[in-house]
Amino acid sequence: MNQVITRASAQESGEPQYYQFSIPAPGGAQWVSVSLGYRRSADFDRANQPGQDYAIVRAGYGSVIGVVADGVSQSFYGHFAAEFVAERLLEYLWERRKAPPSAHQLNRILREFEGEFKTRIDRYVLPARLQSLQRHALEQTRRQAGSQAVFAAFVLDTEAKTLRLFEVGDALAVVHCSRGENNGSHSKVIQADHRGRWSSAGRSHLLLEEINERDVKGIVIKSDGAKDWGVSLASHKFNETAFFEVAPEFASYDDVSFVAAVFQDERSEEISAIVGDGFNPSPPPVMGIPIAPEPTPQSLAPSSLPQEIYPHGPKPAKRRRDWTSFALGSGAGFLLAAVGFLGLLWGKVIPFKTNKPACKVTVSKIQVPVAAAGTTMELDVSADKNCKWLVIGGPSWITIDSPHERSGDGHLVFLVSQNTGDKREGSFEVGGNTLLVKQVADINGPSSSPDSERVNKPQENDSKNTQVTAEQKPTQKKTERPAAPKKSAERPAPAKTKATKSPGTSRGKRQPETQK
Amino acid sequence: MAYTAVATGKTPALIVYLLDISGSMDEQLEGISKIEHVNQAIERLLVRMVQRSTKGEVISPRYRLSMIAYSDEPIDILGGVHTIDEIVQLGKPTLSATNSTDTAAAFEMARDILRREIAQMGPSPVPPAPMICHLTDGQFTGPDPEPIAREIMQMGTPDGPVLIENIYVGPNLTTQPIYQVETWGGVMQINELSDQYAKRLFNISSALPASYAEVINEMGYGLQRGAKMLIPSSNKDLIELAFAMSGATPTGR
Repeated sequence: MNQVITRASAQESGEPQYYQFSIPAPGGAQWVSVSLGYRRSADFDRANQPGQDYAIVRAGYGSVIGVVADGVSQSFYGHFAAEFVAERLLEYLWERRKAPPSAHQLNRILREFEGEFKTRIDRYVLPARLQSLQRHALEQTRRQAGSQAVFAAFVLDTEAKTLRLFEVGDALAVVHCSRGENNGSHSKVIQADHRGRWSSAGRSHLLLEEINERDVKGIVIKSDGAKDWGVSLASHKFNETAFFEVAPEFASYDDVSFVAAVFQDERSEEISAIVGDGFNPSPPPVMGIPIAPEPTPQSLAPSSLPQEIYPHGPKPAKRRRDWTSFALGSGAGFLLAAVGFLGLLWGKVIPFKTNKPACKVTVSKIQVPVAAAGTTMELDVSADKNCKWLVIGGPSWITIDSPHERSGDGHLVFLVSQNTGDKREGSFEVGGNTLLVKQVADINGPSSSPDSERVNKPQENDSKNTQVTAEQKPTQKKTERPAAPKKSAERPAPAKTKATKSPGTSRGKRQPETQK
Repeated sequence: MAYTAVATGKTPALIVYLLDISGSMDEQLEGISKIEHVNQAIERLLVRMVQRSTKGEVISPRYRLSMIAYSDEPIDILGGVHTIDEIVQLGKPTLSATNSTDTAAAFEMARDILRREIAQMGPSPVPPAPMICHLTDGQFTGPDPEPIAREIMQMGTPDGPVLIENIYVGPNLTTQPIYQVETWGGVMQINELSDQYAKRLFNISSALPASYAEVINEMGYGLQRGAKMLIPSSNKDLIELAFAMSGATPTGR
């Protein structure tokens, strides 16, 4: 039952933007300071045009997801691509935060995003004020290159301190780890092939890189305009004041944006917003950014985190969109949040959607029994050609692995994690139908094998597309964990690649999906 | 430095076009007049420059252009040096052919523009080396332009000496026909040319820098580094290639 905070940059604003808040890391011994900064390029100030970067971050108990996307100059309104891909990635990675996708899976998802985005870009009407040469140039660019973006995105498990990072193009990441020579810490800058692009024109050349890290102390992802920002996490070099000092210079060349999540032993006094269960509708501003009141220590205990939707604070000045937070605690809340998100995408372009289509949608099964080992299920969904249907909701141990929005007939694919506890039931909605998943208990009791050997490992005797993902421990168990950091051997590995590779960085390019 | 400076809003690329509009430019080439080919190529060039300068709707002043049309005398058709965003507001120029061909006078005007402009360029960041893009369809009728062209080639910025590109419009200029424009590597040796004036232009054409070759290759052309910046343009595709080359100053993403 987590509280969730989402922050996004405002591309239209000419002001430097900086958001910072902290969340308690599971175990209670540490905090995670989450920050986001943005300044559009000064090139856009004169005509007050939107900047090309888009940064967005979501944090909840146990996870932080961050995306920085940089719209490609010389493409068709690159800021459209940056915003679209960043928001879609955030939602997708948030849903998959307990079992982050492989590069191969993300590749496929990005291609799916592309199709929808292309339709929107094709429909965009150029403003009448543009001169003929520019219209000609933009139309040609729309056809040939489309709207393009590069990005960096991460899924940080704040309990295991593991990181999965994805990069396309020249977006940058700085990963700070506690595992270095002589047990010291080390940092490294990671950049994918600079030629990578995500594009609306059906010509994405992703060159997607996946990087896995453990013993993470901090992660900073940023656009190339952010230069050396985040290489040092020293408090005097990496805070709001420091960002406001460097942002104007960076912005004289390019847009600058970053998202960071940094583990801290103590709550920093620099933190300008705190996750808590109290909400003050008129908190005092700090550096121009409204803040929430500081919480009491009791309010920060995971068990006391609220289950309902709490707006984190008033909208910052000039923000276009602030879908700050929503709860995943109740099905209704999640449904509302998902519907709200879909409606908010592209502002006025699309209306709000509901998951109850006017047309008829049929699922081949509405109740599915699953063995304790877990599995991958594929069901048929029938609907008329133009009948749209959504997949919404579900517990964390069920991962939807097919598009969340489809039209007409299609397949629904979902993964059920291994169950090491008592029998359990979970449901989610498919085009207005409730699909119930019943998973039996593990007759052998809790597994004694290390997590790293169980993660995503296919079951040898299962010829029916079986895939086992990492066990999702119930929230209640998390509160019982000792506060002391876990030894690395106890830490669950985030993906199957970790199970087969030696400790350290794994730059798994386009890993093959688990055998089905 | 070796032509690696990037064209940006702060360090724009300066390109001076010298466009022959003598009477012979009214002659037909592949069904339309040479001058019409040039007009079309200029429009495509400007569109490409706008594309390469565009961020969202904002056109960064990455290019500064001067266009001098010449026949009896050179005419500054843009009325000075203008940035690409200003040219978008002005609209594309349209050329029409007139009398004789005083090429030397046009080069002199270009030299004077370069002198003024280079004197105003700051030392840092280093601006890209300026370029002269000269289009003609035949022998000059006035004084020999070669001495002035050589004088121009001595000028430059820390990025390198001024580049001179020559676009020679006409049939049968090379010993071997150029069948595939996309895969053509360019003129490497003077003996690849059959036309005497083309050979003279060879001597006042710069070698294609590697950075420009890279940009041209990304556009889908096969020109090689070191090839002469001389395009014997016997058809419209070669004219387009020639103008594409003139706008191939490296730019950031």
